Amino acid sequence: MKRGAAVVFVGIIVVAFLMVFGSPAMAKVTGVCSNCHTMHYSQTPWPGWWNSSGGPYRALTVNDCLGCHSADSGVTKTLGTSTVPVVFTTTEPTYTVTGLVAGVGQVLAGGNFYWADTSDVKGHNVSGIGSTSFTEPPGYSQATSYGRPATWTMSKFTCAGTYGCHGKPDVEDPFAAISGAHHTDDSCLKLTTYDDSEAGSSVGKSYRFLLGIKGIEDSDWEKTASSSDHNVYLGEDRTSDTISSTATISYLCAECHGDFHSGAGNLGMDDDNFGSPWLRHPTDYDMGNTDSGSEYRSYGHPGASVGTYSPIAPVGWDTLSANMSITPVTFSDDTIVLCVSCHRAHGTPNDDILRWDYSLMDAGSSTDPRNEIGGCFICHTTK
Amino acid sequence: MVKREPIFFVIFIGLIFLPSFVLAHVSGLCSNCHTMHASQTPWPDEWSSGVEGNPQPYLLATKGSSPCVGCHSSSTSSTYYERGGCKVPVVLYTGGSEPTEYLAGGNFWWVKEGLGNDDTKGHNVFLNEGDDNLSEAPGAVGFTTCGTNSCHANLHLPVTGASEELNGKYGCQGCHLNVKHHAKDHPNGESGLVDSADKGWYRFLSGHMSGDGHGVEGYEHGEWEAGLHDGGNHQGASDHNEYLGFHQVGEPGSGYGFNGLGHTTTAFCTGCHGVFHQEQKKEEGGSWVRHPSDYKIQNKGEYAVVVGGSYPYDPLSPVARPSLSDPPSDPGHVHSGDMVMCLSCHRPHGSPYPDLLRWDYTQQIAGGGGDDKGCFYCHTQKND
Repeated sequence: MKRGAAVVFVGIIVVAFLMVFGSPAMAKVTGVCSNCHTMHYSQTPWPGWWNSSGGPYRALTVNDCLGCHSADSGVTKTLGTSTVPVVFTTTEPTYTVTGLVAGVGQVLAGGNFYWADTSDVKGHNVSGIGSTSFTEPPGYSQATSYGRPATWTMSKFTCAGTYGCHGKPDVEDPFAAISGAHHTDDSCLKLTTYDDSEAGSSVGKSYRFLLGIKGIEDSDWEKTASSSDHNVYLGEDRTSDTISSTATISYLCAECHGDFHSGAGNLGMDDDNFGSPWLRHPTDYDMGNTDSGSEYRSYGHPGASVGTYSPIAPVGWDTLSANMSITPVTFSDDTIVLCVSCHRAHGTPNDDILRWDYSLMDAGSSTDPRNEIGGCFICHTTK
Repeated sequence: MVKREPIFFVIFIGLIFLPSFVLAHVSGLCSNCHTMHASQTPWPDEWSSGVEGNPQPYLLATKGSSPCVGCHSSSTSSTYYERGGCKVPVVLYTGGSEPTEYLAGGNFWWVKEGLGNDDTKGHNVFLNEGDDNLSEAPGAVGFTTCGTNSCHANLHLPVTGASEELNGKYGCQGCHLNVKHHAKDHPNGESGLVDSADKGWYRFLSGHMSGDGHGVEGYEHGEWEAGLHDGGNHQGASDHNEYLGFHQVGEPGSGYGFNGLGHTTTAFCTGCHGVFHQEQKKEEGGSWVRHPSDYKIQNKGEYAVVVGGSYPYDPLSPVARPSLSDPPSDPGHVHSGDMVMCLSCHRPHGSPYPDLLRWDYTQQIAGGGGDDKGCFYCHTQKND
């Protein structure tokens, strides 16, 4: 109890510090224009740090998405005075795959495409990274209901646009799909200034440029992460196996993997019934719906008290607001299971882009699996 | 012979009295600039000593590294000086330190060897002072029928093997192809619209071959925007050059040159840098891959305020107009239909900044606050 109280106290101090001293951390790009743009793609001699070829690129950028957001190593890099999140490295990042670490503080929240280049099952194969035998995303049969094309073109799979995740789904060109987003004032997506009426209203004001998706963006993309320092995801406490909110992070995933999220019959997480036993792992469903004595009511970060938010296995809220409490959770519309509770979007060392090594999830091997193994057991606390 | 004498007399009298009708241009004594035989004795101090006994093209009495530089350089003024009652614009300041004032076109100080000596900051117009970084004009569209050392590729070597009109020309004359100091335009030192070959075209910028009979139209500021280089108000922000533009949708293959873009400054720039205009998008309807030029500033987003009619015109970031008048209509503001152009960002002669930019690109800081100057004159919210 003393340790738990100390953690809570430290958490309060940290939150208070951030509230008082933390200026709104806008992800809006700042810095000299030449960090990212060249007017005619003609600079001679070509600055070595632009590290690009094959242009000119749309939006007058010096490189494409991966070109700017890649590095030899590291999770962020500096261009001039701008800090750029790195999602693809040419050397393998450190990633502890156990359920007690699962890469937290080692990669950004979305993971790293490095592993997609090593194995098709370890990342999204965007922009020519790796190869794939897929002809379309798994679970794609309802794509048109989500505004995605009826058929998929794997060769066009990229970061943004119709065949990507970021930007406008109705615009195929990835550059055009996120046009202007980097320069948008996105203070509406920050913890101290969150504005639900603005969030999701444009690409630039959508969580991580995922059009229509709402969320609170951690200022350093979870380069550092803890129970009180993390992204805050929007979820939905659904009562049927249908789509209702189009603003949740899981809805974004469902745009291409919709069969895993909702649908009639055997599609989605259940059949015509709704509730445990599920047909597929539920998403956009609040663990607070379970009995008060259920194992799910013991969700919590390994080593911390029950209810402490875990960046290893993040959960969502169904309502977001400025200066909201982001830990602990109360099991009342703030413990919503998400796609990203288990997966990272870009890539991990684990199959199925899981956050942790599924093969280490050994049921019955521990009397306190949440704290000793973590991973799946952060929710399934007694398995 | 006897019968012809009255005719010569009339012509002589006419030459004496008619110059007031020829509102061109340079005015003043011919001897301000010319010597007929390079033999004057004693040699006037105001003439270049190197011309004595050494006649120069156009019978010029001054001598520089090209026919132009002799007159249009100065070690004491970086904007203009007076010669015999005539204002002479200075494009090469030869003082020991960089000029703090310069004309609309900038100054070659920064690129001249022995002075600024930085090839990234000006056009390399000086003989044998080729660019250390470039082998040809960036964005060249590949004109190959203009002889050896075509001006479309470089400016520091005389053209050979071309037409009589071109052979021997280089440097300043690579752009100012047919200089007409005595054309019938506005009086020296005063502003006026120049829109025809008779008037010499805007700043003597004209075409050849397929561009024969074509040139740039524009409203010439009488003092070449002296004092306005920093966006100041030396002569009033409504008192400046006015540039003609021709809106292009920016789609691939949208053209270049006078035949494609009309009598615009951008059309002239594309003669050597056409790729930068011709290939501003990769596919129809796609997004920009190069900065647009001669493209209407859009009435939306952060640009809407620029073309709202009350946005002050800033000579530091000039825009092109869809049409010109003399005098200009409301020159103090930007209007709907006005366009971004090459000269919105660049000075053709030289500037203190790489790429001949009008401002320091390294100080254009997105999200950095500050005034809506430079890039942020149009990108009004990028600095917020």
